[in-house]
Amino acid sequence: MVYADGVLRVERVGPPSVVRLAGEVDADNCVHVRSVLDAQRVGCAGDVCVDAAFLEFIDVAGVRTLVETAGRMPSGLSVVVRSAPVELCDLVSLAGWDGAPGLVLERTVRR
Amino acid sequence: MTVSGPDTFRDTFRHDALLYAGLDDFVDRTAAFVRAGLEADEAVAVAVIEPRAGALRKELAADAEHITWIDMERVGRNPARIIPAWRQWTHDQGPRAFRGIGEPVWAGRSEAELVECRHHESLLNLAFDGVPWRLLCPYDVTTLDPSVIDAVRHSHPRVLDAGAEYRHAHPGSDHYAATLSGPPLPDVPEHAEHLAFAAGELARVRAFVRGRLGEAPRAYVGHVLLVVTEIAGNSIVHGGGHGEVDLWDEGTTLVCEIRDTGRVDDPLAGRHIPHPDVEGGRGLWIANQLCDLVQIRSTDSGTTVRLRLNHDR
Repeated sequence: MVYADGVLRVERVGPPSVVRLAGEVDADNCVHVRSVLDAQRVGCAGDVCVDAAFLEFIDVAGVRTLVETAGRMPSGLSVVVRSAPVELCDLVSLAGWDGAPGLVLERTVRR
Repeated sequence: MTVSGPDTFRDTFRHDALLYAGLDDFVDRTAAFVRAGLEADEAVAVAVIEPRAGALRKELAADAEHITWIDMERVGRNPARIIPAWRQWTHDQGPRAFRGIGEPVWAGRSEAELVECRHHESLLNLAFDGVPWRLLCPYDVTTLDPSVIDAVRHSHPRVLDAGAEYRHAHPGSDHYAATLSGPPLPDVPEHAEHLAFAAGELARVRAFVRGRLGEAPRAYVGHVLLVVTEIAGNSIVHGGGHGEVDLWDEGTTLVCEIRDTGRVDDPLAGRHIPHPDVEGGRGLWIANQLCDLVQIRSTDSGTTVRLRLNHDR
């Protein structure tokens, strides 16, 4: 467990190391997501993998956290969001971040 | 006369209202307008609802293929989505002159929608000032209330009515600012459920809203929670760090009102297509994209955003 509040748990699982977001990410707690992703970005030589299978809600501030982390990845590396819920994919588009550099969304079928 | 006129619009935005009487009159007058645009090699788009879209398409026959058809019933359900749709369309056409038919107002619109349609018609003049295109807004005098027809002259510098052309003062900055200050929204009903919130309480706001959505479809619940989070988040960041939310139902529509002590100054707030590199401004944009209607009222004493989402759609 890396971070937990009443609505969000951030965990590192693996190996290979994956950041799991479980619950709700919003403007109030995305700073904690950002610091975990930043640590992951600096600490490993490959892609930053995020498991979103248990993500129940994300707002624009949460998506911005993913987009900005992706934008700081070294050339050729990405933030890869696995099991990305349809709501996350739709919000990325709606917020104008389709094709954001370094962000890869691997969609999931609806649970 | 026809509605095609001198080409003075080539370097500016010409925004005309067309008062017509019934479907045949609509087809006669708009078909002539469209054909004049095609002959002049302008980019042409038509955004009207049925049965007018089908009737015009039939009249234009093969010419219809050279036109962009925009589903006004879907795009214009919330009238605040129309300006960005036109902006996207004009952007996609490249450096040409543009010609469009846009029908934001139709019989059956609610009073709240009609108010926001009037704001939309005014704000078109601000959004496209200096853009070389000509937009014709058809109004059916046989089905729309006379007060709706009367309001047309406040937002359209020209009104074309049965062969005559009436010119009115071009709306100015005071006119645009007034779209944020009024008219007042109807009172929140006494039975509305109320919550005050402060910084750090977005999850609490969502729990409050979720609690009254019951077994609504997942996509609908997701939209409501996202929009409420964004607007409440605006209250925390821009609106004094706290706010209030009221929720109630009107028939099949959930109404959610969020108030704070901040101030919105840009009359086009929520109508700017988000740019990837721009930091903010997405909350009201997303609200407009996901809600059936968004009403923003902002004065020195604070901002109210009233969101309407129909659960029957």
